[in-house]
Amino acid sequence: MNDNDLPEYLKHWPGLSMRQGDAIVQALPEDVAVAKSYPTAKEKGPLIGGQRITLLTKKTRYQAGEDVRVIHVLEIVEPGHQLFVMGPKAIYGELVDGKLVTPAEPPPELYDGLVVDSPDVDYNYDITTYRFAEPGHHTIQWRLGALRSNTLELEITSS
Amino acid sequence: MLSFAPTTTAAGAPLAAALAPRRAPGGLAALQRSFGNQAVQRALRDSESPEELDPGESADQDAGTDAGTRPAPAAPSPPPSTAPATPAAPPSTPSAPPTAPPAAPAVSVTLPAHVQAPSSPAGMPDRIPPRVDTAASVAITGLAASALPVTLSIDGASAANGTATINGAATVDLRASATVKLRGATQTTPGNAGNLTLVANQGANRLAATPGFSVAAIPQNWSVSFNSLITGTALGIAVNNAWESDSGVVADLDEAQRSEQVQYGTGTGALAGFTGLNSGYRAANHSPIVDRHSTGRGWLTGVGHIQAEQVFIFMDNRTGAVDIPARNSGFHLIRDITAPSPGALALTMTKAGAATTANGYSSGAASGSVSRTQAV
Repeated sequence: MNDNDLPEYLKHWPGLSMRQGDAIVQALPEDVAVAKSYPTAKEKGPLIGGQRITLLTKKTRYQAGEDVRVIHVLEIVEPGHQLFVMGPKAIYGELVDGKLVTPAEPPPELYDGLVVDSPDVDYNYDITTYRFAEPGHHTIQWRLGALRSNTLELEITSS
Repeated sequence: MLSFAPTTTAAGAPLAAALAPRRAPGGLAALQRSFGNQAVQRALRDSESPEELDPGESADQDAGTDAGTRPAPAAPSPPPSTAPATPAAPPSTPSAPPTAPPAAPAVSVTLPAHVQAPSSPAGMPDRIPPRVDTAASVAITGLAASALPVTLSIDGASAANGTATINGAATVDLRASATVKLRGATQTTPGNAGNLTLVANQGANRLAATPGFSVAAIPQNWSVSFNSLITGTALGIAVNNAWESDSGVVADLDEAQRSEQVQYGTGTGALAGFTGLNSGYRAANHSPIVDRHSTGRGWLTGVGHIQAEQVFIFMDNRTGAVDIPARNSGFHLIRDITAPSPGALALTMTKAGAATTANGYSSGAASGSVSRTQAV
């Protein structure tokens, strides 16, 4: 998709943050670059009820022991919803090789801050990092309620 | 067997993923809501040659003057009639040295060290807003009554760099110290910051110049008002967060973005263990926006208290400023769960303007206060 064809909300870059201890800091430039690729990414999660969640990584081929940093994006393409854009929000419902590696369900709501009307996009989630010790094929998926992300297919090679 | 190790997931923070669809697929709504510029007396010694000097001005007039000052070019007039064109022959007997022609008095101009609107928070690059006057003190000494006036103007003005007026005009002539009013007109376009300069000239001579500045509006003066109660699976308040542009027109903030910063204190009782949040940057030219302050019923299990701090920061593409705490944008966010009667609980959610610090950003008090109590 050409940048000019993008909906307005996808042309806006709100920034990307990460946690560093108790502090919130700007995300690493390489993570920002990955997140900024979202608007034109070919692989996105399926639209369910006008909403989609998507996982992004810098690449799909990593060496054993190399950090795989995963960016999370929520997009709501139709009006009538709200996005809770405060964060970075913790990730729930993430599976690696089919196994849940984060808590499945979030705790009760406690929220302070901006909500925005859809359509819009929210990049304000924690960046998860995984390190695979052995070569092979691995998958990562994120599930949020009824939403299912794209499945990242990663190839881990010998270091 | 799982052959990976999660290394930096922030899982476990009690604020979770997040959207609250008004029309969500079954069961998703509840899940998605949960988470949770010294005066710089900069006389620029021109490299002009003596033949370029005004009549009556000698090249020697520059000598001995401070950087930042330059001799005043006298108003056009014939050379002093008492000044010998050539030195007289030396007398045969000792006598006093020949008398030099009287030098024109040196004029000195001091401009503000920075062209900076008083509404600029610390860390903001030099700039003035459009539409609103910014006072600039100009100190002038040594200006002879017969000398040319000191002329103030804005160097570098253009559609890209921005434009500004001085006392409503492109130039202003001064014969004495004064405070002038600078007013931005066309805002600086992104990528052209700091290309405007307030300059003081006398004739063709540059007497002083300020460091570069821009014309850009910035957000300030946040306020809060009640919007609605939150009921259902969570209790709390939705509030309108409004802000102003220091230009007086929020639409001028079309190259500015604002971000919310929230930092939680140590909670007590049922309300403890929360971490900070921010919103990312969002357009600043649409005010107000709605903030949600909600507490899921799952937290409302006993008395407790927690206070969070909220500060708004902004970035501005015109000046290149980033992460600047907006003036008067601080709030306290206070949750109190009380037991008004045995077996009953009530939640009071309060948002009140207060000078505070959140996530390392400090600001003065925003205005307004909203507080509502709901039975749990």
